[in-house]
Amino acid sequence: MISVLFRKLKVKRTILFSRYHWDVLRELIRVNFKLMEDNLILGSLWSLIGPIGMLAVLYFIFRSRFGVDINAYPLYLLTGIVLINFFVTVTTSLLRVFFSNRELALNSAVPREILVLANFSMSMYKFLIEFLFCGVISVFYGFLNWQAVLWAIPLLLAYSGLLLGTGFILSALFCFARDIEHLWALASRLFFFATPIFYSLNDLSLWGKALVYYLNPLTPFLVSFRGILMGNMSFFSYFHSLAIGGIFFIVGYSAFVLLENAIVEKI
Amino acid sequence: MSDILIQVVNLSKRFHILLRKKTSLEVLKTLAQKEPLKAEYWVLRGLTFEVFQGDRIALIGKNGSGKTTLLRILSGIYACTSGTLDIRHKPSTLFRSMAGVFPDLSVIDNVYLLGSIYGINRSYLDRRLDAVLSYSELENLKFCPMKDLSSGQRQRLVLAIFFESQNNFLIFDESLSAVDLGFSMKFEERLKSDSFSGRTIIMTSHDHEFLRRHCRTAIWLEEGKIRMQGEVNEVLDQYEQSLKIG
Repeated sequence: MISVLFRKLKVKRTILFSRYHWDVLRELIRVNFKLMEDNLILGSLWSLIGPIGMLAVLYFIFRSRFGVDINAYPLYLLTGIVLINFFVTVTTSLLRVFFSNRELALNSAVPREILVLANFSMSMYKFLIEFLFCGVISVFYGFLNWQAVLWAIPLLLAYSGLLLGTGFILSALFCFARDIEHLWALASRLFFFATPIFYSLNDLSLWGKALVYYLNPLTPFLVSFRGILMGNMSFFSYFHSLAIGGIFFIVGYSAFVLLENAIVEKI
Repeated sequence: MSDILIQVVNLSKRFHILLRKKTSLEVLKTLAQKEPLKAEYWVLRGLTFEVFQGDRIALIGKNGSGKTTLLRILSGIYACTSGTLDIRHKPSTLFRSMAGVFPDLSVIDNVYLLGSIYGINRSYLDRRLDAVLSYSELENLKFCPMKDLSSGQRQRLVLAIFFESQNNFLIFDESLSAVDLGFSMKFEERLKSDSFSGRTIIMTSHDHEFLRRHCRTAIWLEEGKIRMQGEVNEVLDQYEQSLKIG
């Protein structure tokens, strides 16, 4: 299987590095932007309205229960909301990416990775607006510095790796069993509670803390992003996150490459 | 002799087809009765042929004979199940279903997107935009959403963009099914023009007279196998004869 994977990756390398496919990606992103902004009065502002609404509700409910011991609780909450929203949005839309682009996947030689990347880019754009907003609030609290911004870039890449890897696996599985969509909707809701969005890891028992930190790949990322935005960075979480992002991407993409022929026949 | 562009040896393609409805109950019943839920379906079996640089090949056969599957394999969309396929130059393919058309976007936006899918970059299309719109007779509709165009107009636009491709190897799958006679004549003029001489073209069409005019050789597929290949008139005569007998 490993030799098959390496043979396929070698072919992929020559395909993916051709300029032609990057032109297609650029045009698909352009088209998706136009479709996203079509008939919208508030345009990209909608990216902020959702998280702010969620922040208001969670802050109102949990402020006195969990927020008392957490410094800059609104920023703490907002970072969690933005990160989990990005994860859920990307993975849910990538789940169906080959079905929603069935015509292109079946009737053109456009590599399927380009379809995945085009879809991902849209969510990434919205996420960056939201993340920038988190940065503005961090500046308001006096936490953010330029060093932190530099630390954020590899972390963003690793988070993209986690999301793309998960997306590749989900999109492949969805072609074989549609139940995945329902399972993932359930898992996404569970992730919201199993990730320290509105509570702190210190609120959990020792076992609970270990489970939430080591079994939920989102937690190290959330801890690291918060560290960057709130001036209390943990290098252990940071490098842990980079490793998770890399591993998820490699495993997810390898699974996709191995299953690609079967996927195309299933869509 | 011209250079070989494609060499296909003993190529086969298998799909799996369901024998029962895919409901949970049916799956359980099938498992309980130890019967198979799926069966192998060989769409293409043991194809061997060569395509040379500059060839114009008609691919003929009844519906379901494997034409589109073969074209998808040649275009790199499907992988073959067995056999070998050696392609020296990647083709640009135009399938009948107009892949990549976004109905909610304007004609111009679709021109750039489709162009990129057919390997034509934006700067080249910028220079050729007026020619594309004029050829497809859509100059006055360039800001209209694609969904407001008729299927014939959409197909005209897709063909006009595809014709801008500089690729020397083109594949057309039923590309003239929706256009009117006038555009069909323009299409034929374009195929005869100098810009197309020397290019390798594989096409499918149910318009046999069109194929006789523009192809030199033909491959006749029947139930996934090559029934006959050779000079276009000869193969088409035999194929038409078989239809009359059938």
